Amino acid sequence: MLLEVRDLHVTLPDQGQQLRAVRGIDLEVAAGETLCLVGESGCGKSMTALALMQLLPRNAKLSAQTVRLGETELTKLPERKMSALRGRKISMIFQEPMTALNPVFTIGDQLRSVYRRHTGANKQEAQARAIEVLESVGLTNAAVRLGQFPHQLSGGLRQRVLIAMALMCEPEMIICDEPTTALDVTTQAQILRILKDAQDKRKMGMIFITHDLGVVARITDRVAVMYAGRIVEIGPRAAVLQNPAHPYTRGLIGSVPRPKDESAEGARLASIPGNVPAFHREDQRCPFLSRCPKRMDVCTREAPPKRTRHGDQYVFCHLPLEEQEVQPA
Amino acid sequence: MTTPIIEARGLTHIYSVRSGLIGRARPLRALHDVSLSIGEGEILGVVGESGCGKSTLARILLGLETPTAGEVLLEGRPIASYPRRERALAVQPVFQDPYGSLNPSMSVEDLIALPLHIHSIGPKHERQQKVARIADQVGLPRRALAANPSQLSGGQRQRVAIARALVAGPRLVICDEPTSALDVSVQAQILNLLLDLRAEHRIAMLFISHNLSVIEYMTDRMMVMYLGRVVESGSTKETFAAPSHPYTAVLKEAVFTPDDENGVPDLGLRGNFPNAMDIPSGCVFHPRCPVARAECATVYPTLERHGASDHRSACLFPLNAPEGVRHDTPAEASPSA
Repeated sequence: MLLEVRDLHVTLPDQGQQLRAVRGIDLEVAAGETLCLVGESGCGKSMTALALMQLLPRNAKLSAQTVRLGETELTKLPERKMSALRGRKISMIFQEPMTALNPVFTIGDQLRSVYRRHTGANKQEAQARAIEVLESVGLTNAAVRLGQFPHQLSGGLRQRVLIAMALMCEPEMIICDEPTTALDVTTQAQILRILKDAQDKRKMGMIFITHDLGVVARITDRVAVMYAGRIVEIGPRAAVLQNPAHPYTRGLIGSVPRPKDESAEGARLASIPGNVPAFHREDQRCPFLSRCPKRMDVCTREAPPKRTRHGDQYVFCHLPLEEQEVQPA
Repeated sequence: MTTPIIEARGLTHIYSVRSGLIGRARPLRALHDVSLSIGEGEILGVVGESGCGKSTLARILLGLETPTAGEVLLEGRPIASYPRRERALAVQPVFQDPYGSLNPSMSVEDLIALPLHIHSIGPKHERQQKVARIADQVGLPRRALAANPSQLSGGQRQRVAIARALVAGPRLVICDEPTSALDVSVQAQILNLLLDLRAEHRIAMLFISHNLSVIEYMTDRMMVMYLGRVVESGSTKETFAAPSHPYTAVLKEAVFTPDDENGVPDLGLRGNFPNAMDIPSGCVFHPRCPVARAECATVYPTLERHGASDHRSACLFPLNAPEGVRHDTPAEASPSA
């Protein structure tokens, strides 16, 4: 396994209490594989990403049994060594390219500095590398673009620059936090293709964070569904999307607007009543308890067991959905 | 046919944009010859990407902006002739950011009651009843009425915005990306709510979204906009079944649903994202169009009807054209070709 995470916790101070943003998750990503972390706002998906990069806010607390990248255990790594890995072995792409780029430096300054810092290359080598990588993400006139400032580029071009920056040192692992959410749909499709191409060429491991199940269906090998700081279901793409085992996963899939079915005039979207809860105290019970349409007595008392379906799809639920129960997609 | 609730004819809007401190003002044509009408209880969708003019259109229909050319008729009368309050009573907005559009220092109850207060509708106890009734309808718990907007979730805030828009009984609601900032499960609640309210109050709606799935689910008729122009319009069902404009086809292909696991498609788009300051000659879409031909750079196609229905598109070489309707050379190409 390229990346292995065991029992990751992140807590953040929140109005005098401790908000448990991530509550004990396990993840694995192989080289060349894509894992989508999917969930709604506040589910802890972005905090998970920042924890893997060791870029959590200063006041956040991280604990984990293991966060291992290749041969390196990241949890015990001093910041000096971590910053030597960041951008070289593991890179991250953020949602908002405007805030992730420094407005007072040119694109070229920012691309070259990443490369020179990690490789000790001189300016000419860094320039050549920047042009090469920018062209590989579909930017025309790369040499001209390098002299421009972030505000002179459109959102889609800025996101390509960020992808290029993440790829400068050929990392083994890339973490993308909603990289296309702020973009128009046609630009989103282009950016996703560029990302997947870059991954295929380099056999990078990828964690892709999104709330968009449509994007999940198009790009991922496996999916982890997060809810209130926990992974409630994880498995291969087709298994999870077509045969969800957790009631939350099914609710989420049912919430996605689709054309109205002629035979069921007035059919409504399946929505999930209520809102995502926040956890300040340790609570081993199912996080979806308060909104679950299938809640039973045992759910209010005991932690949901981890159950397996077909060996590689896991669900944390007392009463997982039966396969035949699921309406055909 | 009865008078539509709202009708717009030939709307063109040009902003003057100054770049830099000493730059000269340059014209930005945000809308070009846009016409529409919405009947009672009807939902018209507007879909398009950044810079297509959809928000300018919303502002004009709300009377917040006077178009450079063209006119808007509200129940048959020019909207410009309405006193401000009367216009606000008839047309109400629901915006994307439910937080930015709610005064943070007011209670939810006062926010919802504000239109009643402004229009001096009913005595106080009657207003309170109306507020309570609409709060029930939009699914706001009673205890939320005493709260401030900052104490509510995003979905609840959007319910407040919808309650406020509906409380004084408008004829038309303009929804500008009302669910774009919400999580999918909450989006589903709000979309269901809007459809329920439409059925109950026969309100006409203009529903603006960049999300084609939402448009398909919510609307009766739709318009596709690109760089200020309407490039396709028609019944939502027909437009989806057989998009006529290549841009509509591209948009349709760019919408991903959980049921489709066929990888990321190549949309065949050429060039860079369009710039509203620099509108291309001929068909505005031609520099990016996957099936453009030489003529497309010089001739601007007008919005024309296809077949018997009211399905129209502005393309010299429309896709899925019924036989013999327009051109000798039937458009065989699909956008991925």
